[in-house]
Amino acid sequence: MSLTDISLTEPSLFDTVKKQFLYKLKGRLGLFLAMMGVQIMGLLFSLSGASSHGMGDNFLYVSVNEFSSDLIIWFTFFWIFVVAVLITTKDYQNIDFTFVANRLSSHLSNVGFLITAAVIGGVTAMLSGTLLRIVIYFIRGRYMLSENFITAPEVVLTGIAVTILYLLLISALGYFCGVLVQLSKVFIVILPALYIGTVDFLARELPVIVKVYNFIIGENSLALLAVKVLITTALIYACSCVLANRLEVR
Amino acid sequence: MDVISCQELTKTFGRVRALNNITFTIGQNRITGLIGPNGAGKTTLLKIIAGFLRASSGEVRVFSEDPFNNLKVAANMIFIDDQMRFPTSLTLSEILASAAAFYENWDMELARRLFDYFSLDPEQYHHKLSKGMKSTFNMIIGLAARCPLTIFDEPTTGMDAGVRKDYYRALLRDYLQKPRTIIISSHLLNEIEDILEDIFLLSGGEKRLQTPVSDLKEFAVALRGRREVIDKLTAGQEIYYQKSVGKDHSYVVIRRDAAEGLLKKAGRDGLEVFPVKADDLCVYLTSRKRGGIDSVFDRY
Repeated sequence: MSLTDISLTEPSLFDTVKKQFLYKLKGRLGLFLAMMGVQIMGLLFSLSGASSHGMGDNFLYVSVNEFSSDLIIWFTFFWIFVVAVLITTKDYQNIDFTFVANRLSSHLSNVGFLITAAVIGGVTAMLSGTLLRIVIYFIRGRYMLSENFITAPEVVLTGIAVTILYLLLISALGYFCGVLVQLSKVFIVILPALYIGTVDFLARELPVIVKVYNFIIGENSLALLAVKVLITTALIYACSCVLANRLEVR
Repeated sequence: MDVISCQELTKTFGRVRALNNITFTIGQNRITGLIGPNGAGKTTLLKIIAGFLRASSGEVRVFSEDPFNNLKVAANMIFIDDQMRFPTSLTLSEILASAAAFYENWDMELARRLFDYFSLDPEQYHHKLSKGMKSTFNMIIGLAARCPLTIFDEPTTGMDAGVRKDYYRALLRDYLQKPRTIIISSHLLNEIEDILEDIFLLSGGEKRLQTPVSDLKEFAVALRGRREVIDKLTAGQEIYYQKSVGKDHSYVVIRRDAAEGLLKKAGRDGLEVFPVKADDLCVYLTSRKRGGIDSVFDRY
C-alpha cells in the first residue's frame, strides 16, 4: 500500500443515523410548511363555529355558537399520516441512499424524524387552539364568554401531551402502511378495504378489535395512555423495520 | 487485496435473467471500465456491488463483506448515476455541505474548485439543473467524496463534448493524486479507453472478457481475402465478426494467437491482415449477431 492510499472507514450505526436525521430535518422543511398550511386551513374552517343552536320565544332569543380547535387537531392527524406514508416512497428512499445508509439507519432516522414531526405538530396544533380564541375574540368578540377564556397551563400541557401521543401512534401506523405498500403494491387495494372492513364488518364479528381499540384509545389516565401508546408505537416501528430490511433500493 | 469479488453471481427479475453466472475479481486501486450494450446488465451488476440490490444466487464480496444492506460498504463506496436524488429544498452548496458530513475523506476544496471551473451556481437547486449540469454536479460529488470504491454508472449522460473531456481528465488527475478503486460503466469504449487500466465486457448478462486495456488492443486481428480462402482457413475458429466486402471477398475478426497459427500453416495466400481497434472489438464481442446490423438486411 502506498502512503496516499485511502483507508477504509468504520462507521457506527448511531453516527450514521444522527447524520441522516439532521440531513432529513434540513431537507424536509417543506413538509413542515405543509403542516402550517393545513393548520391554518383548519383554523379558517373552525372560525365558522363547530356547532350553533338557538332557542327562544317571542321576547327573547338565545343563540349559542360553539367553537372548537378539534378540527385543527384532526387536520394535523391527517397531515402526519400522509407524511409518514410519503417518506416510505421510492423518491424519499432514493434520497436516503444517495449518501451513506443501510436499511436500518434509514428507518431509524425516519422514526426520529416522525417523532420530531409529532412533537412539533402536537405543540402547534394545541397552541393554535389559543390562537383560535384570540381570532374569534377580535372578530366576534361581543359574543365571547370571558369565563374559561384562558385555559389553565396544566390543561394545555395535558392536551399537548395527548395530541403528541396520538400523532406518534398515527405516524407509526402510516409508516407501517407505507412499508407494506413498498413490499407489494397489492396493499394499495388491501389496506383501504381492510380499514373499511375493520370499522364496519370486523368490529361486529371480532370484538377483540374493539377491545384493542378501547384498550389504547379509551385510556383515561395520561400516564397509562403514554405507556400504552409508546409501547404500541415501538412495536409497529419494529415490525416496519423488520419487514423492510430486505427491500431493494434505488 | 481484491476490493470486489463475485462467484457465480446470478440475478433474476421475475423470469428475466439479468446476470448469469458471473465470476470475477477487481483489485485495489484500478480503474475498470464496464462496457456493454444497452440491457447488458451493467447497472444491475453495479447496484449489486453497491449493496442496493440482492444477488439471486452466488456470492458477492466487497471489502471482504457482503455488500447488501452493509453500512461499512456504504460508508466506503459512492454510487453516481443520473438517477441521484437530493432534497428539493437544499441548494447545491447545502448539498455539498451535507455530503461532507457523510464522507470522512470528503475534499471540500476540490469540490469548490470544480464547482467554480464548471461555473455552477451554489444557490441553484439540483432539480432545476439541466441534464448535463446534473451529471456534472453528480460527478463533483463522486470525485470529492474520495471513497475507496467509486462507481460511476454512465456518468456522462447529457454532458457536452467539452465537459466530458474535462471530466475524464479530472477523474484521471484525481485518481493519480488519491489512488482508489474506480468503476465506470459506459456503452462505448472509445472515449474512456485512455483512462482505463482494465476492461470488463458484459453482454446479455454474461461476462465476455476481463483484461487490461493494453492486452485488448493485441487481442484480435482482422483478415481480408477471397471468401473461399477465408472460409476454409477459419473453419472451426471462433469468429467475432464477419462481413462481406465487395462481391467475393470477406472480412473476419478472430483471435490473434489463432490467426498467427493459421497463417503459419496456410501462408499469406493473398490475405491481408489488419489490427482491430479496441472499441470496435468491444462492439463485436458484445453484439447480438455476428454479422451485425447488416445481417438483418442481407436476405438474399
